[in-house]
Amino acid sequence: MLTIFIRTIKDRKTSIIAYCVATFLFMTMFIAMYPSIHEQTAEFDELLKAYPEGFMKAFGIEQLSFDTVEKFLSIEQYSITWPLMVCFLMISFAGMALSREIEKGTIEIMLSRPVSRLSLFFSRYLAGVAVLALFTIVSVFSLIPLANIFGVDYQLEPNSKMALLSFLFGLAVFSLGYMFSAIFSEKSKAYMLSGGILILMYVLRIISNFEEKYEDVKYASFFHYLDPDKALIDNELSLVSVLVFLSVAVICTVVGAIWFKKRDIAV
Amino acid sequence: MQPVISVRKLKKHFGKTKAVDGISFNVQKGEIFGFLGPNGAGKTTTIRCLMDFIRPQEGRIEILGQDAHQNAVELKKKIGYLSGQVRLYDHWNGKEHISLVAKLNGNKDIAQKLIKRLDFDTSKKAKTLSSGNRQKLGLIMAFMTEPEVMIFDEPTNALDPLPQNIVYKMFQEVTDKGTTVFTSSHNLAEVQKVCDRVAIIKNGQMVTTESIASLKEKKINTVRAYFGEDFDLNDFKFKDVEIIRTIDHELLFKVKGEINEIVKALAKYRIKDLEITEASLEDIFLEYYE
Repeated sequence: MLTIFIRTIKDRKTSIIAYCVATFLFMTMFIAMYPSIHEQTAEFDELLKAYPEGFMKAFGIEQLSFDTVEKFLSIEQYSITWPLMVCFLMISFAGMALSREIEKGTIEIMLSRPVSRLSLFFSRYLAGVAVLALFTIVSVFSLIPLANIFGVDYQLEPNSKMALLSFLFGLAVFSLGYMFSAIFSEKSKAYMLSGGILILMYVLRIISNFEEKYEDVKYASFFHYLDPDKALIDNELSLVSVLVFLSVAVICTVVGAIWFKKRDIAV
Repeated sequence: MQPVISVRKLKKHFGKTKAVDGISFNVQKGEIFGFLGPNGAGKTTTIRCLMDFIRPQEGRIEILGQDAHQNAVELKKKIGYLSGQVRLYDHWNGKEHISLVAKLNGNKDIAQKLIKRLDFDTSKKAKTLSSGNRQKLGLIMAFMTEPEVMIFDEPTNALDPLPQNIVYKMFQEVTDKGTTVFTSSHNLAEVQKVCDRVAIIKNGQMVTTESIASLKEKKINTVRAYFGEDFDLNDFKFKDVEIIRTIDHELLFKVKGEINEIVKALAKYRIKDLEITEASLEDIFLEYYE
């Protein structure tokens, strides 16, 4: 199991490093920008008030102020940049882990050795979880050295809660993608379905923000439960969000594992 | 003696396609068992069932006395496998592939000996390897753990004659030590040269399982007669005679089994020339395929 885990990480090291560097650079950009933005908080608050209501709703921006770095990151980093990056990283990792191997036939190398299907499934799954943890740590906690370098005040507790919430969001996305990767023999199908579902969820959240009569559809969207304002600004970790993300992760993983154990793997 | 591989009434259907439809056979310890059939006959499906990559709808497979599905992990410690088209990780080199197999199997291995013997360069990435070298790497990965059972799908595919002969020799050496080899092949000369017994599969059903020696004993003769006069074709219409063609005073036909009746029929006429050719193993196989 450890051999497959290490080998999986090694095989994906280039993209892992690229994503970590990208998220670090984004955080560097935001933190480097923040002191000058903070100085002009009043002007920016006025500017944000001038933004169309629809735009603010579309991105779920409720707290219209840049008076703390947490509020700034909530809007700039965690409303769209970070969720997009983690979706790309984890869906791609999930597709490469199983369906691409089945498509290319390389899975025969593993399956012809004394390795159970479940062991293969969970080794790769845990490798994905480790990658997600690394990406989350780099993307959230790079704030600490960067804030010190650029002289920005920050609060560790809300950022830690954001890290946990982000990790759980990534875990739910990864588990969904991994389930499809275990079901399909072509990675394009796994990508299409996972990506399609996430886009649909994003659209549902936007619709729920715009139309009161469709308000309840937000509960079908991961993006509703990834609420950076609550974690970063209110310093609260929603138990519902935690339970939803964990439940999705557990259900998708169990379904994926059972399917992968029982299915025909023919190239 | 308990067979090393025992397949009983194996069925694997894909929708309406009956890829394998109730085949049964045994492979004994230390033998090289050839598995022959035209494309789409069900050879690869059978091999994938043996390897537990796909699960049959019906039937039972036992390898070394253990259920091939229930005990798949345990069994794979004792099985060496090579697929029809060797699939490799493009960005890995040979050394990385070999190292993975060694780590997953956890036994001592003879990879270095095989690398030297097959003259294989382990430093090259798989994507740069020729098809012959990919096959060599596949063979090293299959042989390196010194398995008790070897399951091969077209093992000498893409190999030049020299490494082909080395592989045949390796087959012989491992079977001398008691290893059992199950191999599918299209190469009849290879089967004739290497295998002890052969099973022929057609449209998912087993046509026959015989030793190479008994197959060769099946008499099929092609007869070409040049008559010195007109002849009546009806004189040559027997149960086991297949007329291939007639041109003027020439008659070409195939005879299965005894040739006495035909000789008697020919003796009624003045014969200018007569050629009787014994069928090759290939012709015998084709008889089964048709």
